[in-house]
Amino acid sequence: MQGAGKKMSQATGATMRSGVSPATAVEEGLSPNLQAHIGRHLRAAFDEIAREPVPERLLQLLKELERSGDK
Amino acid sequence: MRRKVSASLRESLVGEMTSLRAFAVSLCGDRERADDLVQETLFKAWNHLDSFREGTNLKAWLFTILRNTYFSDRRKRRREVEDADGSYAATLSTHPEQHGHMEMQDFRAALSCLPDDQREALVLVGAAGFSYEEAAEISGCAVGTIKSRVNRARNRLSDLLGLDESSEDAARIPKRAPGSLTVS
Repeated sequence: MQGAGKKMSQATGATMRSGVSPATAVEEGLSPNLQAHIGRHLRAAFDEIAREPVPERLLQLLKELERSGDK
Repeated sequence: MRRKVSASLRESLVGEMTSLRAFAVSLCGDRERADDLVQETLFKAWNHLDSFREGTNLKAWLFTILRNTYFSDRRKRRREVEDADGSYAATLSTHPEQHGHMEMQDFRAALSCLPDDQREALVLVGAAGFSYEEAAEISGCAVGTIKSRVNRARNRLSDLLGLDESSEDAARIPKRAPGSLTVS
């Protein structure tokens, strides 16, 4: 796993490399209505997946990890 | 490993799996790969449980492991395959279970067009329930960077979907033909 420091420098590097021009008006953000509109769709898309049952193979992995911890 | 995990921690782990999975799907756009990511995350989390202090934010910790795994895999893949970016969009149309109505399909397609870092920021703050501060911690960047990514993501979505500023009702009716954004 990456250390926090490494992770941070990588993320910063990625931001600079992406070369997005410094936003001015863009940073102002959308109207509250449009933000709410986007927020609803975003949550709907996310929740649709989050409502799905956890796949069996992931539950199985947890069981196996626990068994290995008991030994 | 080598360590008894308290029942409450195990329960919390299981409890976070559904949202962790939703986050993984929103990052990579593919359920199968998302499940691989969650699996790897669980494995790493389990083996590093000693670095997690019970009572602190387990969800944020898991999300951090998952996104670090995703981005480091992605860098590796990029080196191997030139066209790393085409893969996300290409998987979008292959999920019959993701039907919903046209508007949601358009929304998903637009979301998939965002740069990874913007999509990540938007999902963390707008759907997964993290504060800007937590999202910054998870992504390993400054709070201001997260705010700017979220704003850019919203603006980009609004452009892609042809949303209208004038009213919420207008915002419900995209200017372009429904389905035109769906990747074929």
